[in-house]
Amino acid sequence: MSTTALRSLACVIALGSTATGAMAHATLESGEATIGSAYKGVVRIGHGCDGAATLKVRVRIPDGLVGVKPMPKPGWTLETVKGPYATPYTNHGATGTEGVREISWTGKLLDENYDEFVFRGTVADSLKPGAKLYVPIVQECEGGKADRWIEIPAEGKSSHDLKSPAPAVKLLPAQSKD
Amino acid sequence: MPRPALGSAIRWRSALFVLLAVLLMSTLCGPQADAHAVLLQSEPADGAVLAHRPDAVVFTFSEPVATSVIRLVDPQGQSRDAEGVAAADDSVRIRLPADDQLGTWLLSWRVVSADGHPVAGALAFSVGAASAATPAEHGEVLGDLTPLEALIWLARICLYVGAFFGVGAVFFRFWVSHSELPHRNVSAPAALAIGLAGGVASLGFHGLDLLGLSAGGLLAVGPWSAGLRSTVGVTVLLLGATFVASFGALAFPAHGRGRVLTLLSMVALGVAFCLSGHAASAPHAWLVQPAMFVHVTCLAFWIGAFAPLVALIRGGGAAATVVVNRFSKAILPVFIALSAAGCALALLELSAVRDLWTTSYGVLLLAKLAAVLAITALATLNRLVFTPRMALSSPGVRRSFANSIRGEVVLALLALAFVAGWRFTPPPRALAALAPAAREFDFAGPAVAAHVRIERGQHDALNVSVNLTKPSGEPLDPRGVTLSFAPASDDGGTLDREARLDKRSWVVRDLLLPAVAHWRLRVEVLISDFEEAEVEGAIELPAANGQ
Repeated sequence: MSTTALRSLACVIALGSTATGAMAHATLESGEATIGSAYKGVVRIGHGCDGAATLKVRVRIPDGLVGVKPMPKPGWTLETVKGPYATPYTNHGATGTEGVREISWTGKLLDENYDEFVFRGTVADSLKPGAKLYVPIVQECEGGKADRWIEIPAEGKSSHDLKSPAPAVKLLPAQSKD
Repeated sequence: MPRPALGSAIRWRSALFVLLAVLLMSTLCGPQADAHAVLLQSEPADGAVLAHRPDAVVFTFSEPVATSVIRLVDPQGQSRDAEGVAAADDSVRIRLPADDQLGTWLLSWRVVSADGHPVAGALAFSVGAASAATPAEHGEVLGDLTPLEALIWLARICLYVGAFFGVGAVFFRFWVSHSELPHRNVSAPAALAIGLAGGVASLGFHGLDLLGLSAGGLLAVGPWSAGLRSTVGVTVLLLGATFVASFGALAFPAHGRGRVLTLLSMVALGVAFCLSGHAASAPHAWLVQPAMFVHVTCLAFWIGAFAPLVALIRGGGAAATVVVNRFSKAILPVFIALSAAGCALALLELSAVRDLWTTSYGVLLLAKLAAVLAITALATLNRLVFTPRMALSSPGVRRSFANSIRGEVVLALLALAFVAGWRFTPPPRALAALAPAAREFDFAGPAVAAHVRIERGQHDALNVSVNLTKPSGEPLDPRGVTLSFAPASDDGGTLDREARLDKRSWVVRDLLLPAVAHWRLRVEVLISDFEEAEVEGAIELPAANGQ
C-alpha cells in the first residue's frame, strides 16, 4: 500500500529533476523558437497507441515554418508532401512560395521503446513574437490504431486541459543584429 | 495491509501532494509537463450490461496512477464520491456501494499519472435491463415473442378466462338465472381457478420481465415484489379479489346477499382493467377509463352467460325458456353499450385508419374484430332463430342452440387471446406520442456547427445523431466524430463514444446513461488527419418512457 505513496513521491522528485522529461505524449524537444532563425524540431515518441507498436509518425508543418528539411532515419522510410505556403515568405531577399508541408517516417517502434524524429526549418519573419506555433503529429500504430496529437487549445485555454495536445513552440522575438 | 484506514489516509495525502506538486510544476514548466497514463481496460467494460451488480470496478492503466477524484452517479441520477478506492501498481479498484438499484451507473474518474499529468474519463455500465414498459418498435410483430413473453401472454389469457368466464358466470347466476341455474355447473369455479393461477403467474412473469431476468429468477423474491409493485400488480390483486369473492358467492343461495357480492365483483372487475395497461397511461384517461369500465363489465356480463346458458338449454324445461328470454331481453342494451364503448376505445387508441394494418396493435384489433363479428353473427342467429323456438322444447333445436353458444365460447376465447397480445404492442396513439419525445439542440463553434438530435429507443436507451456543417452551412465531410458526455453538475471525466456515419448523420446508438436530465455534450470532429474541431453545449435528455 505504502508503495503507492513512495511511488508518488518518487514521481514528484523525478518530475522536479527533469522538467522536460516527458514519457508519454508525442512532444517536441525544444518548446521555443526564435523568429527569423532556424528551428530544429525533435519529435519524441514515448509510447505506442494504447500499447500497440508505432508504424508511422506523421508531422504537419504549420504555416510560418518554412524551408523544412527532414532528417532521414536508418530503418525508416522517409516521405514528404510538398505544397504552396499560405503566405509566401522572404528570407534574406529571396522569396519562397512552396515547400514541405508534411513529413512521414514509416518503420516500427515498439511500445516499450523510445525514439526521436528530426526535422529542421526556419521561422518566418511574418510570425508574431509571443504567439505559439502548433505542430500536429499523428502516430499510426498496429491494428489500425492511431494517436493524434493535434488538439489546439481554444483562445485563453491551456494545452494542459487537452487529452491529445499538439506540441507547441513558443515564438521568441527576432534577435537584434548587433 | 491489515490497516486499510491508515493506507487510504496515506494514499489520499499522497494524491494531494502529487496534485500540489503538479500545480507547482505546471506553472514552472509551462506546456512541457506532458505525459499521461492511458486507460488500457476496465472491468466491467464501458457500456456493459450486467445481470448483477459487480462488487467493484477495476481499471487497468498503462502505468501506476494515483487517484484524485472518483465519483459515482447512480441510476436515479444521485451523485456521490466513491469510497473504498484502492490503487495498486497499474490498477485502480473501486468498491461499489451495496445498492441494488437497477439501471445505468456512471463512474467518472480523474487520476494522476506517475509523471504528474491528470487524466480523466468516465465509464457507464448497466445492471439488469431497462424497464419492460418500453413500447416495442413499429411493425414489430408478435412472431418475435420471446418464451417469457409467450408465458406472459398465456398467463394473461388465463386471467381473462377467470374474469369473464368466471366472475361473469357467477354474476349471471345471481342476476339473470336466479334459482333456475343448474347446480352442478362446474364451469364457473373452474374458470375462477384458472384465473387465480393466471393471476399468480402474471405477477411472477411480469416481474421477471421488469427485471430482465430469466425463468430461474422466480425462485427469488425480487421479481414477485417487482410484479406486485407495478400497475399490473394492482390489477391482478383486484382481479384476484373478485375471483375469491365470486367463489364465496357460490356458497350463498342464488338470491339475497350473494347478489351484492357479485355486483361488487363486477364493479371491481371494471375498475381493475382501468388501472393498468394502455387505459391507465392514455392521455385522455378521463374518457378512456369510463369507456374501458363499460366495455369490460358489459363483456363479462355477455361472455359470463355463455357457459350457464349452454347448461340451461341442454337441461331444457320451462325455467330454461324463461331465463333465455330474460337474457335475450337484457343483452341488447348491454351489447349496444359494449360496442359503443369498444368503438370509442379503438378511436382513441388509433391515430389513423391505416394504423389498422400498419401497426401490430391495429392488426390485433382487426383480428379481434373478426372474431367479434363472428360471435355477433352467431348471437343474431341465437336471438332470431333459436330463442323464439326454445318454447317448442325440441331436443334438436336445443342441441343446435347449445352448439351455437359453444361456438361463441371458442370465438370469445380467440378474441381474448388477441386482446392479451396488446400487452406487447403500444397503441398507435402511444407511438405517435413517442415520436416528439426526441430533443434537438444546435451547437455552433468557430470551425463547425452541430445539430444534435436525441431520442429514446428500445429499453429507453438513447440514440444520439449529429449532423455537422461548417458554420456557413456548407456541408462537412469529417473523418471521424466522437461524442463526450458528462453530467452538467460534474466536472469530472467524460463518457466518450465514437459515432458511426449513418447516411448523413453521425450516430451513437443504444447509449445508456443514468437518470440525470442535464448533461454537457462535446462533439469532437476529426476534420482531416491533422485537423480537429469541437463544439460543446448543454443538452437535456428526453424523459424515459418506462418506469
